[in-house]
Amino acid sequence: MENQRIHTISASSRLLIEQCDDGALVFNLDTGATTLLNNRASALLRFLLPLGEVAETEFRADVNQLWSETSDFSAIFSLLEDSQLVFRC
Amino acid sequence: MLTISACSAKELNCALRSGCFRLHLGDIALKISSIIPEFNTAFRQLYADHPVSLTGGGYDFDIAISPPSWWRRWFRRNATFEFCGDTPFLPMEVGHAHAMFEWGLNWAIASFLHNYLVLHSAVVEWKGKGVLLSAVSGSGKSTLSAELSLRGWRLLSDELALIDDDLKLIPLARPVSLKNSSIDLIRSRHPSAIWGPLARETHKGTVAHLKAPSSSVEKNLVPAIPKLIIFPKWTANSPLRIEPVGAGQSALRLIDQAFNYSILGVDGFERLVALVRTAEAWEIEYSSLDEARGALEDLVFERG
Amino acid sequence: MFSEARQAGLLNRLSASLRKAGRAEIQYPERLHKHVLATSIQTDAFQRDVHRELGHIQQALSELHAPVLLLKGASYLLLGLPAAMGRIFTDIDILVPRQYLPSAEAFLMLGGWSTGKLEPYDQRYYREWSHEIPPMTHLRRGTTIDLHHSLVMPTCRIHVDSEKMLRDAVPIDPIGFWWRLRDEDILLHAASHLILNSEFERGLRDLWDIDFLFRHFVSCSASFPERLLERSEEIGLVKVIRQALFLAKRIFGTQVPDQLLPDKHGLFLRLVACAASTRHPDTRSNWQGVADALLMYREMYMRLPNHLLAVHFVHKASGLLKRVEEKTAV
Repeated sequence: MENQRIHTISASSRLLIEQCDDGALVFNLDTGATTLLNNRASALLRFLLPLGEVAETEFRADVNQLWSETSDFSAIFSLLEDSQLVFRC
Repeated sequence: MLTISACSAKELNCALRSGCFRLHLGDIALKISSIIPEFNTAFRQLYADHPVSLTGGGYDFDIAISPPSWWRRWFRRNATFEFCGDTPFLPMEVGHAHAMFEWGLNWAIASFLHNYLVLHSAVVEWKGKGVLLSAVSGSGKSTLSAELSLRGWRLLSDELALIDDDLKLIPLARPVSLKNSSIDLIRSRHPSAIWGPLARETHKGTVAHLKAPSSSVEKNLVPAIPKLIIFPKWTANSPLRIEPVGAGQSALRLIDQAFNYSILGVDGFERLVALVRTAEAWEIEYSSLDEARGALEDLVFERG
Repeated sequence: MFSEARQAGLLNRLSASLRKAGRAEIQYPERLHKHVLATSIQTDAFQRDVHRELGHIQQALSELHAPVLLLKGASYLLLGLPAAMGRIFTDIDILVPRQYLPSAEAFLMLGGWSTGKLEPYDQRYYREWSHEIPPMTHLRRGTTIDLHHSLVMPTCRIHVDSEKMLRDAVPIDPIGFWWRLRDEDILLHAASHLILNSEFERGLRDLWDIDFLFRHFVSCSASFPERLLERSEEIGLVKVIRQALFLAKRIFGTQVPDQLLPDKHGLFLRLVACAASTRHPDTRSNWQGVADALLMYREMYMRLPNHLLAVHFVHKASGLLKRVEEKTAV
């Protein structure tokens, strides 16, 4: 059986985040792009930011403890990755 | 201060020919040169209340409306818009020169005044509250801003919102550009309004310019504080619909209509965020100008 | 003057110089302060964009495993030279060794840059006779790369040993991706670009670059002028560098030692001085049109052998008409 590669994830340190009533506006200093994140996505991002680089499975486990519904974790994470707000190695 | 209406046609033409003419648009001074009589006449009509100088002076931009080449003066009379010595656009016929001036000036402001965040949006003011009317071309924002300006609202601009680093809206009240059926609509509603010449068959259809009310022009040195962001949409026969728009959504929609957001970088982001936090955003769909105005006045009163 | 500077593509640099000098040193009207601010905002945005683009190019060519030389404006920026101050340019010029050119082109195409639709004549002009392949524009971002394999056209009439300049290129930093020319060669390249080119519309800007570069390199090393002269003799650009420095001294007051100045000032120098000065309709010289035409003929004469010259001119003449129609309507 093939060994599962352990993925680590981290949030970009080059972000400006401003909370609004309908979500968080995020400015990416590296790309110059501005994104609007819904509250769940911005919460995920804020949670990841101070942790630096962490193992993806560990992070998922922590998130599970906080939120009962995490079925869309992958979807949200993909969104953040596409916008280059988080990185996966 | 001297206004165009206080100058004779001869004085004006002479200053325009000699390079001594300056138009004051709020804080901005334009050096304008022209030897094209059709332009001079239309210009005199449309900018009658604007402060000017006939004796030179400092300026921000150097604009010339000129014949494209010496031999073109005599047949198929065209004019070009020259900006600081360059001609960024194709020439247009002399009867459309005043329209070309307006479009060219919009281009110059949006391309070079990066000390402001420049959005594609009309700006009006009611009871001391600044209101942005942000919409894509063709949604009726110019018609709406024209209507409002003729019903006691102050006009700051029909096309460009200039936001300085203090979050103030910078006025540039100028002729309002209207197209096709909007022209007849506003004419019928306001028979005593003053218009410039009709320009038929431009690439935008038939275009005419409504002279900005003198009360608006007089306040061109007084910035406004933004209190409302409106996304107006005219739809035939549609009942009035008013809905709030979240600040984040509003920011994204404004970025879509921004000219120099990316040039301003971090400052652009911060200024935009401050704007959407300070001014509530609403979407308005309407078919009646009266209904739209009523709704806007209520919004300013209640939420501005 | 701001109007003239804007027209010459130099307002950004003028503004940057004014900001650097500070208000105490140079007084200028209050009204113009907002333009100085606006152009510096524009310059900052431009420099951010260039850095990002260089990152994209580096990523696209990461598998090339060949030296990638950065030239002109983009190199001034990456090297932090004073000549980068307020310098705006439309294309990024990079050079790879000839045998890597097809791979480089391929990698860039994979990265989203494309040479677009060009007429067969233009394709041939670029690929066979010029020192460039057609400019490659990024399909999404709209940025343009000029990919070179040599520094001057192979059919040039004066013999220039540009291969030597390439052989002596060095990496910008030991582990980095980008390479650079030696200091003397950077200046010689800029000078050859100015003197051997036909487009003097940006002549004033190119000349200002030369002034900046010369002053900077001299300030770094007192022996720079000697090394420059020696190197120009090695390469075959003595006359060119002397002419360029003469013009720089004339217009920008650069301090140039006598051995780097020409003995006599022929018609050519007078023409260039005329063509390179400002082009604002209010202040330009009436002879500028004539100077432009004569210089263009000269440039082509220098670059192409006779039989190619005739073909090239016929084609360019028909191209001019097309360009006039391509200007965008408002």
